[in-house]
Order: sequence, then C-alpha cells, then structure tokens
Amino acid sequence: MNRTLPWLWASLVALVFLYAVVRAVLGISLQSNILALLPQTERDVTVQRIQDGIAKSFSRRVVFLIGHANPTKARIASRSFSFVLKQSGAISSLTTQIDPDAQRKIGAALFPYRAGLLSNADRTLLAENEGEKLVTRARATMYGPGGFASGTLFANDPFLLLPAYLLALPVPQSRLNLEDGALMVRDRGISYVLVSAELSEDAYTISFQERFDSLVKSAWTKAITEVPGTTMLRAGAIFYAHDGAREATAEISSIGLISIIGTLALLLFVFRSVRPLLLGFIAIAIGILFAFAGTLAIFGQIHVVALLLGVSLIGISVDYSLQYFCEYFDPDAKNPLDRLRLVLPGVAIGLSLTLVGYLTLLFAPFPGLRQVAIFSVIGLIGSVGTVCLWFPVLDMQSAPKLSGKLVDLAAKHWLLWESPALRYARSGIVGLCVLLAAIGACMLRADDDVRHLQSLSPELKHQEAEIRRLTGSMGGTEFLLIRGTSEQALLETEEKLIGRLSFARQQHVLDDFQAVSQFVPSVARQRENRSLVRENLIKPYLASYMSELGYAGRVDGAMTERFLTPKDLPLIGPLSLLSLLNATSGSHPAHVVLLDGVKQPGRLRTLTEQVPGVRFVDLTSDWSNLFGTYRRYALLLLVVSAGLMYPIHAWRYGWRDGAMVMVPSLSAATLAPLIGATVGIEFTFFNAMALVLVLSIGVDYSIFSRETSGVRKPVTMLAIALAALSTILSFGLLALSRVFAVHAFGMTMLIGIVLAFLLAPIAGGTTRSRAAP
Amino acid sequence: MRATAAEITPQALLPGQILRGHFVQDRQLAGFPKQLRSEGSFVLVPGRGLIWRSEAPFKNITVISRRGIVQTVGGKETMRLSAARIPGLGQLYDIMEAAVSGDTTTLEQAFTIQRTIDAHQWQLLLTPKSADVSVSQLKSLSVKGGRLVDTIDVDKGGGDVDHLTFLNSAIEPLTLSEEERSLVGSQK
Repeated sequence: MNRTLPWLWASLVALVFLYAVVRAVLGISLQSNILALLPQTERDVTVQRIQDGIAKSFSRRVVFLIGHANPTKARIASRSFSFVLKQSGAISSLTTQIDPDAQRKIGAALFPYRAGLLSNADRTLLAENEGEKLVTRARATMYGPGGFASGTLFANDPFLLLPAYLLALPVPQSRLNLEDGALMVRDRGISYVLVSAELSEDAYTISFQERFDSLVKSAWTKAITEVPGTTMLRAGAIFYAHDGAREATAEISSIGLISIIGTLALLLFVFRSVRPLLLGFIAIAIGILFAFAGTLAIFGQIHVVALLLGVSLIGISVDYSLQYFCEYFDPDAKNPLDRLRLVLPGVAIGLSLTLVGYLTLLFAPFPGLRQVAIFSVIGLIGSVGTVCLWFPVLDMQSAPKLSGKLVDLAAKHWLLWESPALRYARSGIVGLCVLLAAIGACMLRADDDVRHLQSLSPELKHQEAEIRRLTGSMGGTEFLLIRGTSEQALLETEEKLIGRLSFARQQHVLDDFQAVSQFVPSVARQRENRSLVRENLIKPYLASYMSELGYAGRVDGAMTERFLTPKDLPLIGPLSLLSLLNATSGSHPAHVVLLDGVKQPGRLRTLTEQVPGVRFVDLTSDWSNLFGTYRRYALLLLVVSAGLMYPIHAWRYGWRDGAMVMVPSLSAATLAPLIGATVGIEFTFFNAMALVLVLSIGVDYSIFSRETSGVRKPVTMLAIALAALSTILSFGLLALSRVFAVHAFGMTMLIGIVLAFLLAPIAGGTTRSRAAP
Repeated sequence: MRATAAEITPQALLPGQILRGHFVQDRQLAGFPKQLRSEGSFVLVPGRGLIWRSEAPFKNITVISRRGIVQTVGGKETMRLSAARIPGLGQLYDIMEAAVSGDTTTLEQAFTIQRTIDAHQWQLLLTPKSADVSVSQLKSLSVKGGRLVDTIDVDKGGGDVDHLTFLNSAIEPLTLSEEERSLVGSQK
C-alpha cells in the first residue's frame, strides 16, 4: 500500500477539522422547527411563502392568563409579570393594559373619513330605506342622559354614525371584559388577566427557547413573590417546542447512553480488546467531522433532525469497521493489509450501494432530507476512507487471541439456510413471515395526522384548552387567505365574504372572525356608503331633524374628504390586530381572515372558497396532507433506490444472481411494515424513511454474505451479526422513545434489521453454486 | 369644610333602598340657539342600574348600568353600548349613581371636591382628577341639594352643558315593577 496515502488523508482530516473549528467559532445556526424540514409545496410558491409567514407569526404569539382570587391583586401580579417580560427584549410587543384612550385615538384617526364609514347594521337599514330608525336613535341620544351628544360632534356627524361605526368594530377575545384597563375574565372565583405577547425571535430557535423559558420563570417568580396566591396559564408554540426539545434531549441522553454502553460492552466482549473500539470510534468521529463541515459549507446551517439522523446514518460505517475487525478471527488474515484486502470488495460494493440509497434522498423535495443525504454521504466517505487508509497503519499490533466459539455460533446461521436437515425450519420461517405479512396487510393503516406525529405535552395541552375555554378564542390553525391584485381588491373580496361568514357564525359553523374590511371598508363600499347616507338619510331627514332640534348652524359631513385606507389607521387597541391580518408578501397583496372556534371546517371551506380569491387554510390538515404526500414519496424513493441498486448487483453477480442477492433486503423492507402492523404500528412518513434505511443496511448484509467464501463465511457472518446488533442498539432502541416520530422510526428499524440479518444468508446461498465444480 | 351638626348632609341610600323621582334635563349644546329639554322619571337601583324614562319630547328609555348603556325607543332597542368593550363606561355609571344619590365617597375617588354647605343646602363642585380617564372628558360637575340631590350641572366643555333638575325625589324600599326588573336585571 502506498505510504503517502495515509498522510494525505491525515492532512485532509486536519484541514476539515480546521474549517469546522472556524465555523464553530463564528457561530453555528441550529434549526429545530420540524416544519423547516418540510418542502416548499410544489403548488404555489407565493401562497406557500404567505402561509409560512402566517405560520411564523402565529408561532410567535404567546398568551398568559395571570389569575388571583382578588381582581385587583391579579392586575398587580400581571403588571409585575409583564414588566419583567417587557424589560428583556425577548418580546416585540406585549399587551396587559389596553390603552384607555385607544377608543378616542381611533375615533380621531377615523374622523376625517367618517362620511364613508357605516356600521353593517346602519348600512343595512339605509339600504332598506329605514333611515328613520337612525334618526330616532340619534334624536334619543341627543336628548338622552349623559352619552356622547355634543355640539361639535353634531355639527360634523348629525346622525352620530361614526360613534356607531366605532362601537361595531370587532373585538377579539370577546369573552374578556375590560376592567381598569386590563382584559379580564372571571371563572370559579378566580379573576384572570390576559397578557398577550409577540416574541421578537423565532420560536423554534433552541437558544431563544432557553432564554425565553428562564425569562418566564423569573417573571413568574417576581409575580408570586409580590402577590402570593397568583396562578398562571400559558399557551404558545414556543412552549411546546421547548418542551419537545427538552424531552428529546433527555431521551437522547438516556437512550443514547444505553446505546453507547451496550455497543461498547458488545465490542469488548467479542474482541477482548479496546483497539477495535478506539479505531471504530476514530472512523465514526472523522465521518461526523467531515459530514458536519461539509453540510455547513453547502447549506450554511444544520437542522437538528438532520444532525441526529445523519449521525445515526454515519454510525452505519461501524459495519465496515466490523467487517475489518472480524478478520481477527480469520486464520488466513495474517496482517492488517490482509484483513483489508479480504474485506475490501464487500466494503466497496456495500458502500457504493449505501451511497446510492442515501443519495436517493437528494431527489426528495425536502430541504431537510437533502441535508440528511449530504450529511451522511460525506460522513460515510470520511468513515470508510479512514477505515481503508488508516486502519492498516494504526492497527500494527498483532491480532488479539480470540476464541473460536463466536465464529462457530455464527456458522450456525449459515447452517439454518444451507443444511438440508433444517429444510423444515426454513419453510417454517418463510411460512411464518408470509402469514404475518398477510395478517399485517389487512391491518396496515397509514397515519399522517401531524398532531399524532408530534407528541405534545399533555400538561401544556391542558393549559391551552383552559385558556381557550376562558378567553373564548386563542386563534386556531385555520384561517382564510385572501389574494388579489390590489389592497382594494382584497377588501372588496372580503366584503363579499363577510355576509357568508356572518351567516356561518349564525349557523354555529364558527364562533367569530376578524377581517381587515371590518375596520376599513373598500373605497367602493365607502362610495356606496356616502351615497346611501346622502340619498337615504341626509336628503329626506336632515332638514326636519335639524329644525326639530332647533339647530341652524352648518353641518359638515366631510363628503369631500379622502377615502380611508388601512395604512391610515393607528395600530392601537383593537386595531393592533391589523398587523396580523395583513399578509402581503413583496408585490403580492394578501390578507388573512382570522377564524375563531371553527366547528365545521369542511362546510366553512365550501362556503368561503366559492368567493374567488379566497382560500381556506388549515395549517394542521395541510401539514397532515404534506406528511401523507411525503410518506408516499418516501415509498417511491424506496422503489427508486432499489431500482438503482439492481444494475450494480447485476453488473457484479449477473442478472439472476444479482436479483437473488437483493431478496433478503427487499424482503426485510417489505415485511417490516406489515409485521409491524400486526402489533398495531401505523405506517407514517417516519416508518417509510426507516425502510429506506433498512434497504440500504440490508443490502450491505447481503453483499457481505455474497462476497465471502470458504472459511471466511462464519467470520463474515459474525461481523454481520455484530453489525445488526450494533444497529439495533443505536436505532432499534429508538422504539423506546416517547416522541412518536422517533418511536415509529425505531420500531421499523428494529423489525427490519432483525429480518435483514435473519434472511442475509439467502444472498450468500448462491456461493455454493459458484463454488460448485 | 367640615360638616357640623347644624349643617345638612346628603342622605345616602341604605342597602335595599331605591330612589325614585322626576327629572328635567336642559341640554345646552354649542351651536344650538335653544336648549334641548327632556322630561320624565327615573329609578335608581343602587348597584343594578339607573332607569331614565323620558316622556317628552318623545318617549324613550335609557338604562345605564355597570354593564353599559341600553337605549330603547317604543320597546325597540336602538342602541347598546357594552361596558365590556368601552373603557371607562362601567366607572362612568358608578359616578352617575354616586352623583344622583349624593354618594360623596365614590365621587372623591375621581374628583376633587369643593364643598359649600349651610343649614338648608349643600353644594359640591367637582373637578376631575386628571388621571382618571373615565371622567377626563368632563370639565366640571356641580351637585346641589337639600336632603336629596336637587340639581346637577354637567359641564362637558366646548360650550356643552347639561342642567338636570330633580323633582319629587323619594327614597323607597326596593319594589320594582316587572318592566323595571327586566330593565335593570337581577344581577348586581
């Protein structure tokens, strides 16, 4: 072997290490939003971008209810609580106190445009030529007690239409009452104050989650120290995300620890030496280093899931190390170079097939999966490069003295498939697999519901349900997306929609809704309103009304003023909602109509989407649909990668034998979900992804079985058994996870790998015919 | 000024008592050459609401309570302002109730009070404490009375002044007609 190659490899490793260090010092951005792994849907980039923006702004909303038996104390506690949040800078906007002057400020802002502003009720009355009712109302107010009758107002708005308009503006969270400037609700003797906030950073950034969590803790500590007896409810995506991340971290450390200790114990037991461990570790570490640096160089950032999956995928490279180390048991392999020479064909073909398997992930339109593919391909190349170029140099000591018992045991696995005496056992195994597969085929159920795929903390779910119950709304994941050519077009579309929505509200299809056009009528509507007021109110009634009141002054109806547009409104009080409702992205005008308490999503979708330019969006079901689409996609990938692997098999073993070599891995990938179904495992996108992996790994086992011969056969089988055990220790253990996606992945891996190992000798079976004279 | 035994003080309502009487409201509005006069009767049910029944120039009923203001003309609701939605509306009712019933303790929370009291009559001049938003729109309030409140002048600024005169006011035990009960509700 060339002596310079190990040195070249060493300098490459050093360079990559240096690059990774520099990137780490500059700061690595880790992503934890599982949805960031999802593809931009192929259907409509603009809609997708708008939806992403809305999903993001939804995810940034945080709501607290600060409760106390005494309403005043609840207000005090909420103030000290919000004070801490506000000080931190982690919050871009926070509402505890409603600006008591907001109504007046909004009135002042709308005043110049009053001529075109009519509440829906007033507009309907005028359209039905019932203007007299408005005169009666105005007269009663002019004569009535207190009220807002004033000489100045009369001169500008004699029928008091602007106050009526202001009072009809929609108020979100209608179950809350305004008390002493705070939005409050009373329930079972406890008064709650609403504190709503918007996060200044992405809810899915792990470092921000940590920061916000400790911030809430300290705000909470301050509140209960100052007002003992205070309670708190919270809701927001960030709490779920943080809880999930914490859970995952805890699991990684517990499952990870079992996995590492198990693998270490296994290897120490088999090889009675730490050398394979150390070398194996070096190979994996270098693989991860390459993968990390390569992914950062290509993507600029790393997603947590890509990192976790990728590290696991690189862990496969331990299989190649095991092929090498098991040659310790081979009496023919006298030195490291012999060992390498003997395993190299199997490793080379196995690696190239695994790379094909992983590279098919590149065809997936998932940004996250592409990252996983790149990460693991680079990592595997790094690991195998280390095995081939460094092991012969580093493994200079003589092989440890090992007992042949394990090899004898491994030889029995060959016997299971080769001994004529065990024919019936073989038939039994095949029969059992077919039977289980048949039962499983009947029970197999696909599940794409995103709510099942993420396991949300029950405690947080309960708090969110409480907040929803107390406040009446929290904003679901459903909304309407309005698109059009201009802002005015959007408003006109909404105006067509509002009648339908009001009808739906009446029919209890939903509780409530908020739309921009409820605050700002379109210019067309404002023109109509002006003419309604002029024709059906001013012309017939103003003169008599004025003379009745004895008013002889001038009336200024502001008929010549400009028209109100959304940008004229101050974002205070109820109007602060407007920033959330505007979803315009670049040059694509878009509005959102928020929906509260949607009870019949299907009916609402039909009802609203009949209006052109309106799209009913349910983020939850959209995500579920996506998971479904990509579950099917993952299965397609499986077929594609099997299809790509076959020519390599055929090139090496011939068309017939090549197909035979693929039998064990294809069977494992087919049987795993079916057998899983018999114990009630549903088929999700994550199970499908596990199958892609089962195929890659299973193909390796088959190739190793096929590439060995003679006395090496038991040795190779031992290596395969160790590989399968270590894979089960690293992946199969994930079945213990409480995170649904991880659990599903782990279960499929567990069943698939056991099958791949069990059936592997079938691939080697053809060696007999080859060896036969 | 401190009240002495010889000086008359506004008589507060005891729990379970209501105040009934007639009113004449003369409203002076800027730009209006003549005052808008309305007349009618009222019932104050402490904690529950004030029923303002206008008879002239036309019949209408306004009910003001902590929950807000409801106006009905000829049995039909023409306006409803909910205190849950309008900042300060609930507090405004507290002030009206206190002014009509002469409850100075409540008034003092929102107003600076200047008292002029002699043996037959007391007079309170109230100016809003600037911090209290619910009354900051008011310029001043002047309440005059003997045993009960006789007149209230509300200066809303900008030349708008309400002059209220109360006649035949009487404190009565809590007995309400069916209609009145439905107007103020049973809720405190």
